[in-house]
Amino acid sequence: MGATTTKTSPTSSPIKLTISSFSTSPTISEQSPPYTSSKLSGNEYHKLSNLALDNLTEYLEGIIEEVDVERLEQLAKESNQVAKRGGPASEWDCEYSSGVLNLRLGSHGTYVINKQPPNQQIWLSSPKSGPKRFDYDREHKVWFSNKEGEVVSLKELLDSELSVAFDSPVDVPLSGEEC
Amino acid sequence: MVFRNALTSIARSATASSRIAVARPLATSFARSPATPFAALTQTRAYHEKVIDHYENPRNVGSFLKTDKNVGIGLVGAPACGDVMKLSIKVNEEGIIEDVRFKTFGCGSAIASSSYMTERVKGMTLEEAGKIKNTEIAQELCLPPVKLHCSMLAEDAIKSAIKNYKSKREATGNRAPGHIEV
Repeated sequence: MGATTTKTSPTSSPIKLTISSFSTSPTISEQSPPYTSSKLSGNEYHKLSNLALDNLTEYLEGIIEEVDVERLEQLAKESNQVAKRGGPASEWDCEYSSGVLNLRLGSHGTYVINKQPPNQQIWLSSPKSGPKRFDYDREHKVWFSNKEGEVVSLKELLDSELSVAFDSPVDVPLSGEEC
Repeated sequence: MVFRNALTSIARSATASSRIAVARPLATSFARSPATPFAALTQTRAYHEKVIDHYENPRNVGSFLKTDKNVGIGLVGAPACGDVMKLSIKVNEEGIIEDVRFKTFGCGSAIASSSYMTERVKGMTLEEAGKIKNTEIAQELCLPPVKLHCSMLAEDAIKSAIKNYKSKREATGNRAPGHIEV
């Protein structure tokens, strides 16, 4: 932070004070804005959640087809990335049906991501971080979870955990428009 | 007896079906026909014996009177979502949970989670009880991925009960029982 002040001569004009401040850390206004859940119409909810899960399925199916599962299994065991919750899965695959996405990643465990229409939510069960519920923020176009002050978006969470499991950067396309 | 689908929570979100619960483990595999809502389940899964135990021998079923000054009640969940838990705690003057009761509407895992929670918190201070994590319940009962939400609900229930008790105490000015208004 730097501050400069200028003082003009007392005879000519009143004292002028100029303060400039510089900060290397983000100001409050630059931090992630808190998300708020939007009230969606039934149609809107289904459209948004279907889009998210359809896109996710397609993306994940693509990755699984390409990766070397054996290598990833080896890596999982070596780096002790085995499933903390729910136990290991029997295979590596992604299946989406009736609003429920089952992502089985062998030793990493199973992700279950499903629509929860009564709450207009998407529910996630992660073998790494456990259960979470996501609401939709229409303004920010993001599925977010706010559990006791901890805010995380569905995309952030999946990108972060799946990048580890797949040992390569993951960029899930939930809506194609997220921030 | 009707076989209960271990993963009924998926069906529940689609239909408000009645919940006829059974205790027998699910040994059959599910039809892969895409017409049924259970097509997503490609693994056969039985209820873990610990879950069955809680189901057949639930601990501390019931409730306390909400008018009782020493009682905190947590009511969480929603019928539409498939699970509702009511957890009642009776707290003594030292802040220890001396007795607990639960009533749960939901699947075997939800019942087991809340039943197990009552066992866990009995004898704990409010602070200790508030620290119990859903992870612990899920690990203890070996809950499968899709049922982790049940353990989360049980965690929500105890926190809600503690909050309810504390707000009641604050409202009455933290008076000890037997206090006489002059």
